[in-house]
Amino acid sequence: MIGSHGPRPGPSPLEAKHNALGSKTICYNHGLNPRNERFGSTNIIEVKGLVKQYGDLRAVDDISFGVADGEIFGILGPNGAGKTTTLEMIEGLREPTDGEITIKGIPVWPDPGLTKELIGVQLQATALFDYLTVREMLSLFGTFYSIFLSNEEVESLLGAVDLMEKERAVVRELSGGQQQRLSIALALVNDPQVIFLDEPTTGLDPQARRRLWDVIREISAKGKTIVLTTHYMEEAEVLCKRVAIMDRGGIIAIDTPKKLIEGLAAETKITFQSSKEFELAEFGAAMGGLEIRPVDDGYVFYAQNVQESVLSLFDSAKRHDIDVENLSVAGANLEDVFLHYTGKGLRD
Amino acid sequence: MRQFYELLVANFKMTVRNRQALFWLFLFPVMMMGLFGIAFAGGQPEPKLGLVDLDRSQMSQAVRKGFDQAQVLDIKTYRALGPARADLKSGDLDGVVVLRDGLADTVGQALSAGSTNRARSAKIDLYFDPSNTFVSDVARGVVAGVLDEIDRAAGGAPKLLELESHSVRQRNFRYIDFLVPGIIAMTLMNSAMFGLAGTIVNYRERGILRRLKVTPQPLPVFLSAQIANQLLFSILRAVLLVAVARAFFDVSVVGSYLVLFVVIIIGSLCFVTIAFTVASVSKNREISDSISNLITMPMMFLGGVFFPVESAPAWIQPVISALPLKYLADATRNVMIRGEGLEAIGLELTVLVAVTVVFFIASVLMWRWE
Repeated sequence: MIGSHGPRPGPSPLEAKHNALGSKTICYNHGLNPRNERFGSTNIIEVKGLVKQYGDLRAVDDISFGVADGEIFGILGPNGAGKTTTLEMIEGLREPTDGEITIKGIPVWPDPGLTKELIGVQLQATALFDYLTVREMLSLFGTFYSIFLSNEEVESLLGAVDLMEKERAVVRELSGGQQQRLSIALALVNDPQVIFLDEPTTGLDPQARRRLWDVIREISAKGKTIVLTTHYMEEAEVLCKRVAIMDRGGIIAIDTPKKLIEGLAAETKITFQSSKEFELAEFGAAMGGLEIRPVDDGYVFYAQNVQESVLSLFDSAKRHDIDVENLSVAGANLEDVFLHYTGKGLRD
Repeated sequence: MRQFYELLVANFKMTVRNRQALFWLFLFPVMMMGLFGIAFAGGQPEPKLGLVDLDRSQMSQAVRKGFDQAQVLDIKTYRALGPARADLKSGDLDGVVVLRDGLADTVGQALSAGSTNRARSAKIDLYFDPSNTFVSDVARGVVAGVLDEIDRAAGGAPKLLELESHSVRQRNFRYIDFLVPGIIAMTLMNSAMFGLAGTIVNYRERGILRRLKVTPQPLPVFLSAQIANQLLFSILRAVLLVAVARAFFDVSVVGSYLVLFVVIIIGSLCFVTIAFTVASVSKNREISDSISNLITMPMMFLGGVFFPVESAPAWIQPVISALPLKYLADATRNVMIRGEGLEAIGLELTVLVAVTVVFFIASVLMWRWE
């Protein structure tokens, strides 16, 4: 079923995808960026025209991207954006409605068995056996790959996820963060080339989250390719070499976090509050055509020249008889990129 | 093979470390057996008597009527001595009363001879096992009472009917003998229906099955290890129940342990496949437990675990004969207390195997990863 497209008019499916994405994607990997060009030649994962349809719902809508060998690739988006569905199609858990996925040139579908040995997976649910010890879990998962781990190998895996002291602890006695780290260690038992982490830090406290980031960075330092999903923009910013921003089943932007933010053409975010109602469009026009958006706790706009914009804001406010309170000026981040493309917040 | 072994070991450890599971697996059945065994230890059912009418005369009919009117007795009428003696030996009857051929003639002669001829009174035979004191006392007393009643009704001072006792060695069944095989059968059902089905649903709910799916580990190996663990604990539990029954209630296994082992394995597999089917149709643990309750409850009470199904009313018998547990309980009981071999429980084993095959196919077709 997959790969047996009927004849299509016009450009090849791949070209069509590039064109379609080009219109709504900034800095998409066209080969223009020399760094991406280098990655592009050694992509370990290639996804082309991926679609997942559930009845009337298009959970994943015709997405294409590549993951370079050795990079940490993030898929960022709000709940329901299609991140997990995308990941699960690459992992071989969910069969795509259409499209092609290859890992190291091997197609995942129709037989995911061929790529299972290449990948390590951590699912959103930690999926552990409550009554086994950490060591027993690792040994058991090793046998699933016909690998019988030596003591040294178990210790090295535990070292990789910072769980050495918990070797003999029973799973149910571990904290959420420890279970999550064990779950990552289980994804490493077969020494995979690509590791998939589905929202690895969701539900963890900030300290446990930071600890997990260190673990992920160390695994990456050993040359593993990591694909992770997250709805925390700071996680994507801190960890990922490149990020695909997803919303409603589509990829709306894909690049390095830095380039995505630069691509806003406005590196500064200015927020303020006002006690009075006013006409946004009219006010923005008065400020020289700036786009002002309402957010949870006030209004936001992006600017390159901070001094000019702030002066203009006060000037216009005075003329429109609007009070300006709690003005803040900050550097833009991925959250703002998301807001820019979708007009909504990541956690809306 | 090593993968299977490692999985089995892991499953074994998980079961042993789960205190709640251990309670239901071992302690609960032992407690149940103990409580029922003690509660019903003294309460013997009314004696069951077989009546063999070899005379088939008006006289013998009158005697039979006399027995029928004695309501303390459960009477079953036979036309020949052979089957009655067989039932007595197997313990289905507590005593057999035989009305000899020529009874009417003897009584007639005695009546015409008048009160002087005492030697001509008719003999009524009673076969029973004197070691079964409670039953034999009651049976003898009642039979003697009935005969006296008939004598009085005939209005004769001469004793027309005389009881002649014959002792027979029979197997004595107490309630606990009946109960232990029933409990063993019931635990095979319950541990599969609640333990195994619940575990599989839990694994599915928590994404463990999906996690397994992204590894090269074949599902059949994973599930076989689960089933092997289930069988292992079924055997261990049966051993424990038999040991406790032996130590505290003096119950012994009459039949072959090997045949009993076969019955336990087949019975366990039967409920394992039913459990897998339940797990496949259940979205979550609550649903699987409800369905399991729905399946096990009627079987517990109608499957012949706590009382013989023969004593249930006739209208419900068709329902009973559709319950897999009935066949498992019968097979276990026939081996344990009647010492039957494989050929004698062929019907029961065939039914269990057939049910296993049907539910195996159903569970394979309905299997769900998530």
